[in-house]
Amino acid sequence: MPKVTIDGIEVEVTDGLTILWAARKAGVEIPTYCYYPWFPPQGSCRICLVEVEAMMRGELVKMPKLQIACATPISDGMVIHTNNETVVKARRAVMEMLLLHHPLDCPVCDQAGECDLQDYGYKYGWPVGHNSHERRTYKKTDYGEKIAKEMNRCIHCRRCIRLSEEYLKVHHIGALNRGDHLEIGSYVEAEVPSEWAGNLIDVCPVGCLTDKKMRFSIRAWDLDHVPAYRPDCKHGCKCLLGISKGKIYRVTARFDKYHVMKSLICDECRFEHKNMDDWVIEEDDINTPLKKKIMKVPETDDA
Amino acid sequence: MALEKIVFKGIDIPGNTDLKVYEEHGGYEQWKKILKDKITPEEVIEIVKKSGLRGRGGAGFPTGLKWSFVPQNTKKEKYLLCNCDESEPGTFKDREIIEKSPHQLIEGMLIAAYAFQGGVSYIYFRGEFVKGWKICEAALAQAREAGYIGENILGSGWNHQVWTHRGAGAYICGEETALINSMEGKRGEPRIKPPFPAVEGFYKSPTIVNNVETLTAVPKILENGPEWYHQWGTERSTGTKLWSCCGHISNPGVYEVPMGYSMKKFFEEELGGVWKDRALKAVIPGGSSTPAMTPEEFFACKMDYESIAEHGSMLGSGGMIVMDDQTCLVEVAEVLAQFYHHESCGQCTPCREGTGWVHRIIQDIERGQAQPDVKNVLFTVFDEIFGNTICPLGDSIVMPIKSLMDKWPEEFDYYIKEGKSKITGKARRPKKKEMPDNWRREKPFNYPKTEDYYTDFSKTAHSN
Amino acid sequence: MAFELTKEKQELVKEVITHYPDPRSAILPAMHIVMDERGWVGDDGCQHVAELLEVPIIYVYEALSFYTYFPKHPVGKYHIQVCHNIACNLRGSEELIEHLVNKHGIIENALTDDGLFYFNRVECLGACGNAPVMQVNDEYYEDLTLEEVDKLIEGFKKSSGNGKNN
Repeated sequence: MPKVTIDGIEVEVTDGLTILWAARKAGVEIPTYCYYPWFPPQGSCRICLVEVEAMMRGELVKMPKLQIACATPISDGMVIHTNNETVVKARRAVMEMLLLHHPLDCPVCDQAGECDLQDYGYKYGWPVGHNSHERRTYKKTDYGEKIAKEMNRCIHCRRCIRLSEEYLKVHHIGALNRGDHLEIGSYVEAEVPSEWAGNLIDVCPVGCLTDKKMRFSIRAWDLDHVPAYRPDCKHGCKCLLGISKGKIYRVTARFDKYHVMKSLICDECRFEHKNMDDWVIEEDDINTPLKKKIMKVPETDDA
Repeated sequence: MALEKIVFKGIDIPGNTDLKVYEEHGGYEQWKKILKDKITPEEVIEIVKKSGLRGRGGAGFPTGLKWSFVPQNTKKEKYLLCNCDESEPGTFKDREIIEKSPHQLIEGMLIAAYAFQGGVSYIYFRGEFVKGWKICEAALAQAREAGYIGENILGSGWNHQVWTHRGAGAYICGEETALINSMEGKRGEPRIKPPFPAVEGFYKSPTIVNNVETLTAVPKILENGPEWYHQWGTERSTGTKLWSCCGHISNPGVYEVPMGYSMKKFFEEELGGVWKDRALKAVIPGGSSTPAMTPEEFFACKMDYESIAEHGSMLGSGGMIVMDDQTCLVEVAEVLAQFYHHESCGQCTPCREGTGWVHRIIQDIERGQAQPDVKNVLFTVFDEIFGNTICPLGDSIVMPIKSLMDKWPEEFDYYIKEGKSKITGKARRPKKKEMPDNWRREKPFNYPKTEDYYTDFSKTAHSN
Repeated sequence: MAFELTKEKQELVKEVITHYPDPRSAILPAMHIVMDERGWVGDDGCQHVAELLEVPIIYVYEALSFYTYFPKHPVGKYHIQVCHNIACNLRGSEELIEHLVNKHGIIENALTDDGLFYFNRVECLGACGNAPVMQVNDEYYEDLTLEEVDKLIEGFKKSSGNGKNN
């Protein structure tokens, strides 16, 4: 098994693993936006850039460019730096670029408190901005009654496109235009035609897609999260209830420690049942492997 | 004129778009020879490797080596894509080839595809080349009729099909992985490497992407042997290169120049010097994505990959843009920034946001409404883009503009301070009206240094 | 009424699909065929392509919005595109554009009242040696001077007048 050194921590990992997972094994945090373990890496957000020294003909050679941790496979003897000055600079650059047009409307954003952009911006961002130009704004478009879409907050990670293409099997969302006019949108402005569309909310790392039913009703940090399931659900969705003072405000999928969904949940569970009597609280979430749960996603015919 | 075309002699032969004329000049002989004498693919690759032919699209990767990367132990179809999405400002050599010598390109493609055992190839035209596309379609039809393309070619049992494909106005599709995405009908966005296209490209099959000029040189190399090709150039840059020269020169056009030729001699004898008897100010030697050179650097260098790199620029795709002493370089920078802003595909963050930002800042300078510290901001943005993107487009906006600002700082300083061009004496853009009277900061703002805010995150708690 | 290609053109699209391993590849060629037919590809053209190729419409729409060669609205009889990139800029494309606007009243990004001309700037057309360059529909006009532009525009106006009589 190849051995790599990440920030001075030596770990032994299985062959073919990416730098990101080796770092996670070593307990080193590397920020990610577009990376989602369900999909093949896309490498477009560039926040996970790290400096890599690889073994070439018995010598450690520094790679001329920073490499993306989410897609670069490890090789034996690699030395990886995730927080030296070059890397910190690059991360800061990406953070500044992502926030260049972001409306920074966190006070009224439902994602606040559990937003990747907030977390990484706080940790890795610049304390000052260089921008002196107007921010880009998009024409308001919508995804129907269930999902609130605020395109100005989007960071163009395209997780939602990939989820709907590869798991929900609906070809509804796409990337339109190019350059800094890039917009995530659909041909007709309509509800995403899937019984599982609500999962786009959970897959979105920022406040672009949020739950319309709980909009402006409660802050995320005021909620207690309780794993539960609904006996009547024909899919057996494993949900997470967001409860405050005995009232259900929202229902989401359950997440693992990297804030990745453990399984999809259906829209009926997510949006329709806000009465405590419908739900059975689980003592603790039985930790089945992630892959098995993903496999449970039904085919399109079912949806 | 002193320089005659050698490898690309076909361009100067009248009527060479017709199969008969091409055959009279020894066309398709090499293709016939390979099939008749049963020359093995390995031998073809070996010849091309020995010739030292390097990719002429801009990156200069050895062609034979690229072909040898294709895995042969796969059942998947292998593809050859010919990159004719020539959109780099200042480069127009491929257009010359496809409009005047299409058969040589087709022969080169057939040989190249045979060398790595590819069954289907496509020529990717840029959408605007309607004329060249029609000429190539006609040439392909002729070649098909003559039995050079199709099934069981010339009775050898080897099958090969060539199709054309038209792009539609996207510069980025000239990048090989973006070209593959575009061929698949997707948005022309570059993919991350690895996997390299030679292993996993067009519909996940092994794919080779070569430039028009590279493929067109192949038949001549086979005809005359690798040693013949070695007679020109230096050890690492062999053969000849097509240079497309434009801008403020007396004789713009496409020239075939042996590698290592003296730049000064070429400029004075072939291009006829700067037009209207003016003085030379700046040259971008290899298409708009390469750094600009001062006249001293330019005249000192030789025309090959290494020498130009030594003198602070790149050979790139060989699109020389010459600027005389009455050119406002701020305007040049704006035009370049505008181009890359327009052509950024929007996939990765630094390029998507950065190109537009650079463009807006330079527009501010042109309005005469830039803050005194605007140069610091620009250099910071350059740092933030450079090297952090998926494909080289991010670097392409940085290199020429940064070199202009480094080598002619006084022109930018004057524009920023006075609000008008040092050369033309006026601002190119009207002022923005909504600016308050006191918009200009008197003192430059001191941005904190990166070092001041460096935190060692290994010592803080991890959230995940 | 929804846009449809003629029967022969539809056959052509079906033939183009066979060139590729997957019909999705034929999106660009099919849109080129639509453009040949009427000079632009709009939403209805997009829908028609999606129906012909049997691909989700969002795929076609993504491509249409990405590739700037396809106009998304009618562009008149003569679609004039002037290159304003570096090589053309150095050799006077700005004057040419000003001339078009001032003398002929052909305003940028707008259809003229008679519906003949639509003019917009484009990035490099790949003919820098013969700058300044203008593309009218599929045709390149190179090494332009202001007088030549005058002649061209007059010529277009005349020939379209004849066209009406026929």
